[in-house]
Amino acid sequence: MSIGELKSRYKDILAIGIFDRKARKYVEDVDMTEFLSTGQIEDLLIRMEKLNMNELIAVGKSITLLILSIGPERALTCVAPSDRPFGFCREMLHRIAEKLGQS
Amino acid sequence: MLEIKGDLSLLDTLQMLKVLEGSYVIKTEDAEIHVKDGTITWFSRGDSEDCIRYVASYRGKVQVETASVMEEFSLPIEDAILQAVFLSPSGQTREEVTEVEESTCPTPETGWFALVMGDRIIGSQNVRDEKIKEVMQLWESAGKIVEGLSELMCTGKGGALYIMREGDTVLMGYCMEKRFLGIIRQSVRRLKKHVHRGTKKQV
Repeated sequence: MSIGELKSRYKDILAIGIFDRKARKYVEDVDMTEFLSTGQIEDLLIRMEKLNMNELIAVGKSITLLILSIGPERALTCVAPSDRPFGFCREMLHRIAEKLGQS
Repeated sequence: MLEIKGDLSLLDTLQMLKVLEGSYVIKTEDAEIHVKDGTITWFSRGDSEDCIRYVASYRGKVQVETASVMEEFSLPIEDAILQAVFLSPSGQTREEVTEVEESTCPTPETGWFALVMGDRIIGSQNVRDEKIKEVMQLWESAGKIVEGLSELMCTGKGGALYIMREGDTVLMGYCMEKRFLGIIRQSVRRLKKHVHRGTKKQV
């Protein structure tokens, strides 16, 4: 399943992207760069690694940012509206990661 | 009689009694705390507020007995612990407190807590300042991306971290097992109502 297909299935999502850490760019990007630049995601991934974390959910005034580090080379990023429940966002992130893994 | 062995702090003892049904009397060297079904009901040296201050400061022997208890107030153990961890024990330096804290092994669900105001660490339990600073750097990085950042959750193999902001105060809590994520979130959010009171005492 492609990122575009996923986005049309999960209509609540504002943006999805797969970030390649080696190439230092999004390999698939549906509007993700509007929210999270290459430098910003690299910085967050390094800080997460320092704390031995692979998953991050940051809730702001209007958007919720989700990052799931998949192995040392890739990360799944996602932006959802903040009015969605916290657990829902997390669940969605994992479902997407699962679907991407199957494709 | 419930026999608890080992070098346990009053906080450790309360953590255990939190989940036990029944009536217990905790005897310290100079006071008694009565507990019934996970709730503190009586303190020999005062009211519930006095009890929280005592729990925060007491370092010494602890003995627990099953016995009938006095019921004067109702203070859930969980609330008492959360408030107590941010009170600085009187008469002890931060180094001494850290030493005592580090000698006790936290239970999986408790992990650590910290409270930061601006760039000052106001209170912490079971965590080094360097770790708190690393967490704050992550919080600041995320804050540059997500406008009005109010909550941040991070999970990894080791456990789960939950951070929230209340004004210029940042509260963070870590639990060592992901399945306790709901608990840690709830615990940190509950701390919110105690932040201002706790902070005033410390500053």
